[in-house]
Amino acid sequence: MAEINPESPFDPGVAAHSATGVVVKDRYQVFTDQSLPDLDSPCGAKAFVAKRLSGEGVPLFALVCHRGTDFRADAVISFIRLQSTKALMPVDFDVMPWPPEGRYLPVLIFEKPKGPRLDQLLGETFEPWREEQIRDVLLFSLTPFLRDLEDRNLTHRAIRLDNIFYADPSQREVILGECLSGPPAFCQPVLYEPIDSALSHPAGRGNGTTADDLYALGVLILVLMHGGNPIPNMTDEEIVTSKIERGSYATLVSKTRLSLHMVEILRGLLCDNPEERWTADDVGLWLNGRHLSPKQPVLPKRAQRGFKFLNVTYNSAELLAYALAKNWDAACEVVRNGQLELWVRRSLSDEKKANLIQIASAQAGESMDSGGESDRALAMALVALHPAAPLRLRSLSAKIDGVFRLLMVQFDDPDTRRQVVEILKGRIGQAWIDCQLTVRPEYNSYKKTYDVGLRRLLQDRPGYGLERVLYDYNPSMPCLSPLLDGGFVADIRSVLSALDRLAPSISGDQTPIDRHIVAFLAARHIGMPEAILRGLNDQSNEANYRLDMLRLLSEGQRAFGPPRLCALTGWFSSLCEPVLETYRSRATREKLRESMEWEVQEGSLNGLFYLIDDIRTRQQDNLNFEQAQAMFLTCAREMAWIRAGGLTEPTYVKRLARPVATAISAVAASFAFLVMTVIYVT
Amino acid sequence: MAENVKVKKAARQQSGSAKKSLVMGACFCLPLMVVLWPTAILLCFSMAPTIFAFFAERAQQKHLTLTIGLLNICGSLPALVTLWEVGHSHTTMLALLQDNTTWLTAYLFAAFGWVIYLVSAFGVAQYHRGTIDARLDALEQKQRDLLEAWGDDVITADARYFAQLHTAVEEENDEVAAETVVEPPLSQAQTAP
Repeated sequence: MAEINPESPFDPGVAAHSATGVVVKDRYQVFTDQSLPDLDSPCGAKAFVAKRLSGEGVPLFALVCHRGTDFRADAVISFIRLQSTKALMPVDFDVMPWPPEGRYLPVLIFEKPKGPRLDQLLGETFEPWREEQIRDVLLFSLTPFLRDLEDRNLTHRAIRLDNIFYADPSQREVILGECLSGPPAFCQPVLYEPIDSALSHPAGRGNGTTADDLYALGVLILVLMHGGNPIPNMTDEEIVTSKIERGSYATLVSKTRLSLHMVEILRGLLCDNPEERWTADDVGLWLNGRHLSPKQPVLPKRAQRGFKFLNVTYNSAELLAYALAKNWDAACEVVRNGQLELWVRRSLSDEKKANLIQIASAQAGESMDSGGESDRALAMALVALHPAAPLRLRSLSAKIDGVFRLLMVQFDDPDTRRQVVEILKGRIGQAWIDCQLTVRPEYNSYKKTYDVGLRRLLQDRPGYGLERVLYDYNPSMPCLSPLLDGGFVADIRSVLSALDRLAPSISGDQTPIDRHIVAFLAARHIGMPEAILRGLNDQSNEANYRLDMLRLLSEGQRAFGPPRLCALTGWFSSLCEPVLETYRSRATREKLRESMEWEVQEGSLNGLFYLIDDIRTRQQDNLNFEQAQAMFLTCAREMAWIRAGGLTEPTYVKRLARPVATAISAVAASFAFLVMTVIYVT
Repeated sequence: MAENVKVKKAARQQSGSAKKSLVMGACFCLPLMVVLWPTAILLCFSMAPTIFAFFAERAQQKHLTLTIGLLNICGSLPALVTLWEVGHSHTTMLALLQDNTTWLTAYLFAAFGWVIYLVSAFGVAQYHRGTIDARLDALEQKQRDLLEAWGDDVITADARYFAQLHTAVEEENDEVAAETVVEPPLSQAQTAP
């Protein structure tokens, strides 16, 4: 997100745009009145004509995303650096005010494809491609690109018929369309996704691996060879059920006639086990004429006796899990009464799964409610029944690496928020990892992510909670604070700048932070002192609370800038009146007020903080106050003593009179001595 | 208990130093008296009130002795000058002692000192009586300044007690107020006899 211009004006009306379009990063002009419907993304991003302001280079177009949180901000810079000719590559991007909609939106600039989109040319059904076409036009173009992606640990996740373009008018080469205007695999039909991804919510499919891209490539080959969707009459649910029951290859190939050579690659690419699925290197070998043995599908283990659920008998744990996930409330009862555990133990003879379900049943039985505990228990049971499937809890279904992306996209939805909380609290992610049959290196980091996420979630105080989880695990997530409504602020510098712009319109006692801003700053600034976050939890002492607010933002300004935040500092100077009241001396307060004005002119939150929380000033103030108290008490005592007649009290008067008498006597004696001297001399 | 021990220790130290200075004085004065024998005898008689006051006064600072002594010595000066003018002899000294004027002058001056000592207490009391309002005004002004600078928090519980005492004094009649026992400020209390 470093490319996002933090100095962009907050008010979309002030966006840098001419009469004919919007200027992006002073280098590109996007014509808001010249849309390109043919290049619109299925994810909702709209295409517009764009050009370089210098007038040089190939024709460009801009994709304006539907929402600020939808595009793959974490991958866009990597794709810009990739610079491949085998796919539509982004040239640049920015998140900026989009005048037609009056809000901040991501604008991605791409080179315009020279050829048409494949599906536009071919239509829904078309003449099936020949094997040579598949090899020469499709695979020779895309295989090296997928290998490049794998080398860079990137995934495309948008390989499908309607996202392929001819590279040139001669139609001898194709290129992949863009994959950045939406979450990974968000627009992929269930047909193109492996079982685990097909079972997931589109926003919860996660970045996935190159194996997922190769699966989609296999489906694309099959679609092209079939001349359209090979299974057009099946619904998404039927496709998923069939893939689980019969395997992807058997489901998708259906009645399509294939040569032995093509069977080989399709069996390899459509293998349901990602560990055994062909890699880009395998496809390259196949293209070079090497024959690899076709992969045989591994079908789910069949139970000795079926499990009857809602009048349907299921013979495999995977299918049963799918059915249970779709009928959540009824499934909760099945887990609670222990039938499921019994069936797994006796009919599937899988002790490990049965034990896990037994633990889950015990949890559900103890709670006896249909709330969180029951949901967690069923989610755990589903993980045990079908370990390869995504994490499922009521309407939430997301892959282990897609849960937090789903939270990002659907944070506005209270159900999603609650379900993510249940997933974390129930340690479903950790259970999923424990149930996996193979161990992969990334599982350790996933486990750590879920453990840390749970710890953050359980601390229900500013800087933690679900907000912290959201910002910690979505580095491109903009701050969702209602204070910044309408702005896209994805780094601390931008947050502070936005608050600075907001400050002049604030009246009354409104504070410039809320739970989102605190969590955002805590997540983005790794060195944020814990003491500040602890202090913000205690609102009983107004002065300390405001001081901690100031300290939080001043720490942000110190670490990330900008150096001058005059309006925000002014806002804080008015909020810090309770802090000033903690100083006893009126003169000190006045002096601090004068110095605060200077700090406001400087725009330094840090300066303001150290000014009003200076330990020396505070110690001196306390010392002077104690002295003033003592002096006041002395005055009061003396006044009381005088009023009680102490001043004219005989003993006191006598005591004072003695030295007075001595002094008068001394004066008189001196005078007498002088007179005698004069008399004797004269 | 510990305080008593300290007071006794301090008293012992003071008496010790007084003895020391007495011995030192004697060492200096006795040879002088031998040399200036007529002067010494004359002064012994003319300064008798001062000597009496010295032994009579129990206060440590000897204000009475000083008040009388300073004027007493002035009254003794004419006789001393005459002694030294005529010749520093026993005859002259005896002649002066037999002269009533010598006695009268010295003792009148001493009496004047005594009068000053007696009248000063009345004068001081009168002066204080006249400055009470001014003093109270000054103290009130000081309190107002402190309140303005530090706010109400500057009033401690003790200070509030004294303020309430003042209100009570104002509300009660003068006699009751006069009977109210008020401790003097610490500074004055320490120096009280």
